[in-house]
Amino acid sequence: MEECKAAPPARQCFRLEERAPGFRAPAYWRGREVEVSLGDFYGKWLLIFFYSSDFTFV
Amino acid sequence: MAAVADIFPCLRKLGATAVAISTDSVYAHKVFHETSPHASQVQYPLLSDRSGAIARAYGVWGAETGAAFRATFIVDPAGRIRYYSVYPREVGRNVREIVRTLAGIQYGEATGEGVPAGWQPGMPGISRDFDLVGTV
Repeated sequence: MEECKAAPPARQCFRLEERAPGFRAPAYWRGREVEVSLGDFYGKWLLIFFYSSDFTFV
Repeated sequence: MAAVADIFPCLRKLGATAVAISTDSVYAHKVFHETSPHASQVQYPLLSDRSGAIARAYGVWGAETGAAFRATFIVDPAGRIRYYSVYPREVGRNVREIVRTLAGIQYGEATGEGVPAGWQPGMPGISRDFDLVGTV
């Protein structure tokens, strides 16, 4: 991930079977604002869906 | 995110959960969830990546639009990326393929068999026996 910092913003910085980049962010879930981090899901299969914007199609 | 909501029960059956990430605020996410008939079906957290830092770390940041590309990652229980895809802006995801891929990874791990092209859950895999190379 070191070279990631110096790379252009949209540079892909991982390979398959490497560790997913960690994250922590505010989230909306079940009517509440909560903090969610990647570590919350260790031990489980996790699907991460990036999307451009609310109110757009999948 | 409604198409993802549709397959969410399938993901749960496979022992998986999900998060969705955009650069919207949690306030936008709240109103989106409350007002969109589709989004109200969403059963997983909607993360707010206001700075785009998460999308950048995953290599799916669209600098021109200030938004993430429509990308999907499967992360295994050890925290490793096992699959990813990035769709062009014009096209929505094929969520069934994502379920198939997760089921295929799990089937391959459980049986040691190969998971052939077009495989669907319930179908047999392929033996990895070296003697069979060239015969199947």
